Amino acid sequence: MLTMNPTLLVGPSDWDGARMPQEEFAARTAALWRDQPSAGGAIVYGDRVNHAELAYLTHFTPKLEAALALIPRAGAATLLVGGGANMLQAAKPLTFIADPRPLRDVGKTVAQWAREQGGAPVLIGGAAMPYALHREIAETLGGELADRTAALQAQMCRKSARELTLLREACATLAATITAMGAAQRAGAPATDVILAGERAANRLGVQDVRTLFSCNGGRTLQPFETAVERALDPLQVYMAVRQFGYWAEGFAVLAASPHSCAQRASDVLRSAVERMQAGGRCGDLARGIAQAVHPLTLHPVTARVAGNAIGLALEAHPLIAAGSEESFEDGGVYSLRVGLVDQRDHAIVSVMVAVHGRGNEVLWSSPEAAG
Amino acid sequence: MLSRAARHRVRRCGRGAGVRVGQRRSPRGPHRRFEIAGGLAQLLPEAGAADDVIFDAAAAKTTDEITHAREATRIAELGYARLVEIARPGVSEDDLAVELRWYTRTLGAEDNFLLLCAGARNPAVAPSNGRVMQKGDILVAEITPSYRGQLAQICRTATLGKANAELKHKYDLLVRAMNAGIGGARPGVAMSAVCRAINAVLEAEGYGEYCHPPHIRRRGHGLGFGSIRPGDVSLDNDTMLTEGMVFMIHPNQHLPETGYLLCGEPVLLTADGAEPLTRWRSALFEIDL
Repeated sequence: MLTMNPTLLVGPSDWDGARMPQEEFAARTAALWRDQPSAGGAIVYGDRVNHAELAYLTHFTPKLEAALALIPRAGAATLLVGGGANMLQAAKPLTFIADPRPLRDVGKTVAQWAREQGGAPVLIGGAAMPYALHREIAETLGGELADRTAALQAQMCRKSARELTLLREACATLAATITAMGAAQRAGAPATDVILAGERAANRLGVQDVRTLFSCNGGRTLQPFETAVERALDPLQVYMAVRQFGYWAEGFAVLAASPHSCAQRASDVLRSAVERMQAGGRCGDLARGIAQAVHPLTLHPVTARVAGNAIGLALEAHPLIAAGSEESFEDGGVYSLRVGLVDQRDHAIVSVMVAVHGRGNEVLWSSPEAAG
Repeated sequence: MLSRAARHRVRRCGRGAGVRVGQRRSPRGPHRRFEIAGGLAQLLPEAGAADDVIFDAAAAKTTDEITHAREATRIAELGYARLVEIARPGVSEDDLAVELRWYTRTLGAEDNFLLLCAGARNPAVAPSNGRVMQKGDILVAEITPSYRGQLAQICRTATLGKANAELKHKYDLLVRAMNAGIGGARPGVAMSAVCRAINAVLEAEGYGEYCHPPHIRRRGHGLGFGSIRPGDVSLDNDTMLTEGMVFMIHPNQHLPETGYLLCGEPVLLTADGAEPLTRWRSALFEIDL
């Protein structure tokens, strides 16, 4: 679920070849070329808000300025990093690509590179690209660029064994942070101190990024950290997302000193929904099923339209789990699924992180109330 | 993607001649995404830039914004105090940056645009990476908390251990340049004059070449609301300074003897000139190991 992002990314993003060896990236680009047999190469854009595809193919996370990767069908990729030549030293540890270069004279650089390839390159990440840059590249290449972001995103949906390992680690970190927040809340800490306790726990476990939301009105609405909230809240609805080794885990939880009937009811619906998640099953069918299952209660406004999404290198990846979705769950896909309820008294949102396998699902993390 | 309803509304609003649409054009800062801008360009091919209408109106800060800038500055200075407490050989840049960002959140900053790096010679100030700091490193940091949406920034340099005499001498040069800039900023003066005042101190010491690209681009910038007004402290910015403007004066500079050093204060322009918002001015700090 998308929420406010920091203006500059701060957190460990160095490439670790032991966790994600270069052969994995080679396998990813090979799969891309099989899917795009006529592509001469790929131009991949990423910035500090949108960089899942760039990270998938190069490991690079643009912490400040945007970056552009030029990936040929054969040979070494080129990474162009924004911010000038003086930023290259800081950028080098973040990728396996040797000798990143400054992102300048883009038209000339792309034109030269494209001439050396055997066919027209495809574009990935184009929607997030600044208008002027998109136009410059398109004009340089003499026409419309074929945007193949959706095709790569479909490939990214199916997680490799290494990716699953990293997602499990991210979920373990999420569990630890929710536990830390729960402990702070039970100790009577003010609401924003609870949030800070969770963020501190996440930081100590080495996360790259942490996003939090909480509710000051019993779960009706969610807000980001803006100013200190000096009062303790019980119950306290929280949302946390952590990014570790490139991969996101997110979750909702209701922190409460006593049983919370609305959260428990939502957890019952969620557990049932998880059992129905199957490879090949329609995302829209599951979302509609959740809406029917909560009747006569109503869905929480935060989850009414979208009940979840694929997740991985992007915090909110396609497909979305929404009533109108025609897309299916993938064998090897990892999803964040949530159920939010409104009853006569309370509001509650709970969620799970699930890996869908052909042989059955694996719950990577669940809200404490949804553990069963 | 623009929804069908959004496209319909845009077409209705754009009917008629002389349509002006706010667009953001700057090499830095947020750009319109192609998926949105491309759609708008197709719907309103006659649209033109209208940024100035908005940003000119926001050039002078409101009373609340100034209050928030003061608080953001206070948070920045406390953050720096924390930084020099915990920066040690063996700590990575990333770990230091993460800890500092969390610490400034505990003080009320909802975000922190934090550039921090260390090395024997830094080519620039850059986002942190996993490099482990060592004794003798020069640690440079732009600490930029946001308090209720208003940014303030301090630019600081510290050494892990004792600094040598040359480094101290060169840093003193930057402080003098900064003070010249602060002294030269007053209502009715062009921003370019502030830049010239800073450069003059460096030029007098033989560093004229280093006052221009590729060595530096600017000597400061606006703060908050996209940091657009009053624009960069640069030779090509003739924006006239007016009371209520808040901006950075930072002669951050690469010198051949030391590498990149940071030195800078946020200032509020008053009727009497530039008032630094900080309690403690930039000074080279030697972290006692």
